[in-house]
Amino acid sequence: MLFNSFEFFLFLPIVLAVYWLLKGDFKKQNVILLAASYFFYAWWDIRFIFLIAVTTVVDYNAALIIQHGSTTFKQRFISVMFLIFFSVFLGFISWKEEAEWDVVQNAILVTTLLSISIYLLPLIVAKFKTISGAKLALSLSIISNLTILGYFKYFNFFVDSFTDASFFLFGIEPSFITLSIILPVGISFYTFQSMSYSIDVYRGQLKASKSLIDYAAYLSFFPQLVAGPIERGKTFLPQFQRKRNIENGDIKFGIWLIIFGLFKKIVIADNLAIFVNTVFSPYDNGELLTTPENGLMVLLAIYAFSFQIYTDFSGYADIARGTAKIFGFHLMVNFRLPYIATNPSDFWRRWHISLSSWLRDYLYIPLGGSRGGPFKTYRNLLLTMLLGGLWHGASITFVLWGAYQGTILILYRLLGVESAGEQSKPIMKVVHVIWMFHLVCLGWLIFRAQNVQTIYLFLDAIFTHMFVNQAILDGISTLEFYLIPLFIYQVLQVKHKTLFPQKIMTAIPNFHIWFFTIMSILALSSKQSSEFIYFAF
Amino acid sequence: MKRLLKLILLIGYIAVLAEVFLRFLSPIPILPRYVSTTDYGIRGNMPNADYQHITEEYDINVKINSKGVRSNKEIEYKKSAGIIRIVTLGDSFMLGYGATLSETFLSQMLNSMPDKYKVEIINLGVSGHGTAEELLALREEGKKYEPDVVLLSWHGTDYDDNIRSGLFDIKGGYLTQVNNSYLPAVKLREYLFSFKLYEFIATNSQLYGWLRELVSEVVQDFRVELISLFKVQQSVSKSDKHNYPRNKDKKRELSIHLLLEVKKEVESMGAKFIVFDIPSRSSRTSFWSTFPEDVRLSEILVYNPIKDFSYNKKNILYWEKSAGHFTPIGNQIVGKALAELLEKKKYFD
Repeated sequence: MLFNSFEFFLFLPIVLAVYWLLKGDFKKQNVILLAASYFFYAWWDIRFIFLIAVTTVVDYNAALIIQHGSTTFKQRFISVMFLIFFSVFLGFISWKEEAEWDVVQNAILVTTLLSISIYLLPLIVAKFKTISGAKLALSLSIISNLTILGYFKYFNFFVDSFTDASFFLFGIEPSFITLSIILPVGISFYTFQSMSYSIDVYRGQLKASKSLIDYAAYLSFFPQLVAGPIERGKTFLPQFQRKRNIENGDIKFGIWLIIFGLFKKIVIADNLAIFVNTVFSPYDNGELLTTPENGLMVLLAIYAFSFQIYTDFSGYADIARGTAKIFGFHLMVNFRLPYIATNPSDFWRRWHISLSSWLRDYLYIPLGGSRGGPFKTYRNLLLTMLLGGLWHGASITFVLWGAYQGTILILYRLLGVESAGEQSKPIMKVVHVIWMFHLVCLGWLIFRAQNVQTIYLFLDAIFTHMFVNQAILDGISTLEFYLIPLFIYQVLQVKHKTLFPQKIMTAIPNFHIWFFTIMSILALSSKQSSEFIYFAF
Repeated sequence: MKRLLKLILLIGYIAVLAEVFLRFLSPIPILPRYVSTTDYGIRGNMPNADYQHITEEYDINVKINSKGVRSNKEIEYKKSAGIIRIVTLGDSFMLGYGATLSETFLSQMLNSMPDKYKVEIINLGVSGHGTAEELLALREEGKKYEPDVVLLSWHGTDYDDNIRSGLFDIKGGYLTQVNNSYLPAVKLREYLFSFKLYEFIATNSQLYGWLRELVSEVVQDFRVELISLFKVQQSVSKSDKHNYPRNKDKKRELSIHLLLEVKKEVESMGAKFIVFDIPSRSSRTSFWSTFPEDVRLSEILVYNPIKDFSYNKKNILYWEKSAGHFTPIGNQIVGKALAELLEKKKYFD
């Protein structure tokens, strides 16, 4: 279900009404949230709610074993019942839709194995010392999450890459089977969220949830289920374990975030997408091998894409935060004006903060961070960013993008300018911001291109033949038209040092901002709405 | 009282602000729709209407004759000897939005036909019509003109229009007429147009034009989604079921049945049938067909201009700021190609 869809505008008020009716009983509210979240996810593909159920049960049990060394009979029983319920449900759906039964067979197999593990694991762990038992449970949690992610997201990519490499190096083309695997939407987000929960419990930073419902509702919370932010258990799970107070300010701010997110998505991102696609799409299938006619048009399209991806993804994050707010939840801020970053580290503190901080805390620092001297720091940076790139998708361009991000982080450190621009005078700061923005744009070219030759052809066009014509002037006016309001709003955010400047404005400017935003959504939204870009990850 | 005054002032201020917003940032084409009730329960062009369509890109006069046909002359039902008659059915594309009468693709088609044929076109296109209404228009009005050829335009919006009208449904695998009338807000419009002030606002205010489109779009979408979700019966074969999203199944199946019914109706009149598949587009140069692919429709002659449009990519073929109908060049390409196709398929012999 898309946030900008008809179904969502029916779904949200119904869920909200039931949720508000149950105020005062947060346990029942959690049940409603869980049911609503699974329904929300099932709208996309009903089969994959079983996958979330599996991830939920695995990490719920793993965390309990990590903390207590065992699980209670009740916890085991509820876990198994939870799995059986979804297996039966999957079977019912398959029977009703007359779908292939192999999915159901796999679900029954997974349920059986997992149910046995749920009963056996505490017994096995009991044989170990506490620490080793916790380690074993944590390892199993991580392995199962990475297996799910690896199978659904990367299986074909690795098989193809291995085949290509064998052919390139040895002239042998091994015949592996690639499978027609559907990528479950949001899988990268919720598996990372679930994994961080087990790790935090292992690190003693968080208490394991005793209630499966609380944990399942936390993991599948529909506003952030399919495209984040990747919430940490230690800040988000406790919100499911207590009564939520919804204040008028929260509702007003929540509604504003939803409206502003919609404005970013359907007014800016979807309209810019039309312009971007006219330049990129002809190259997407890799068959067009001629350099684009005008490098300036390519450059404009890259600028446009940089704002398309920003407004698309941050628009989603705003809607997610706004929706969560009206349910009384506080999600983390995922974007903090990333294009005013002055250096790569600053950029990653502002862009997709939940992923970059996840990678920092669960990958970069465990790898050694900057503790082992320059070489190890660079290695850790490069590895972290490579995996960050790969997280976005099984494609060589994402790997290249990750490598590029790692490289510029390293280069800034090598040159001793890792904090460049942060303490500079305003004029120099602007120079740093513009330079950094262009470095980011080069990254977006790698990210958006569907193949390596497009990157080469586009760079060739930019550096060899740029000229101004009417199409360029039209392109510039399109960008101006959609970006000036965003720019003005961001200047207000910077000036007032808040992401919600209206709260310190008087009624008249406040009214005009609301009016302009709502009117833009109604009158300027693109007729060609598209899915959020990050749904693909 | 003071509060009420404040509220009225606020609404007035918002209206002025919105008018200014639209005029500066999103100029709205003023395309009033002059439709009225027909004797057979659906919308038809308002007889003897004479109105302007004004947008950033064109200013065009539309004249409707006393029988609701876009034409500057009266046409008798009885066909004269030696005349070949083409009855055309469709929506605003067929009616010729965005084109003067001589620029429409039907006029271009007529101009491109060999002189040996004496062809007369009866354009029954009505803005907003879908296949369901076109079927009724053919049965109740088109038939009277004794057509030799029936040309029906298909547009991607027909899937929704056919569901929304609620005129037909599929019961037990058969197309069944379930309602005799579909007149969305026509009576209200007729009434409102009797006031001069209203007519002035309707033909001059961008805010009015925008609000009307917005409300009708929201209401229509809401209706379509609700009907698709709850009402229209599933008559899709089980194997087809997994190939299409739920709602599209129902829309598609109903449209296929309607197209087949039009074909049957045309054949019963002893006429020949051709469909003009109007391409949808994602950009100035990227087009795609929305015509339902189905083996049951394979015997229908369908003209799709995507190939012709692709040869003419450098030209602007659809108006870009005025509801997206054909430009004169777009009309010319379609008209010429249709004439050639009808000649090649010996539709007049």
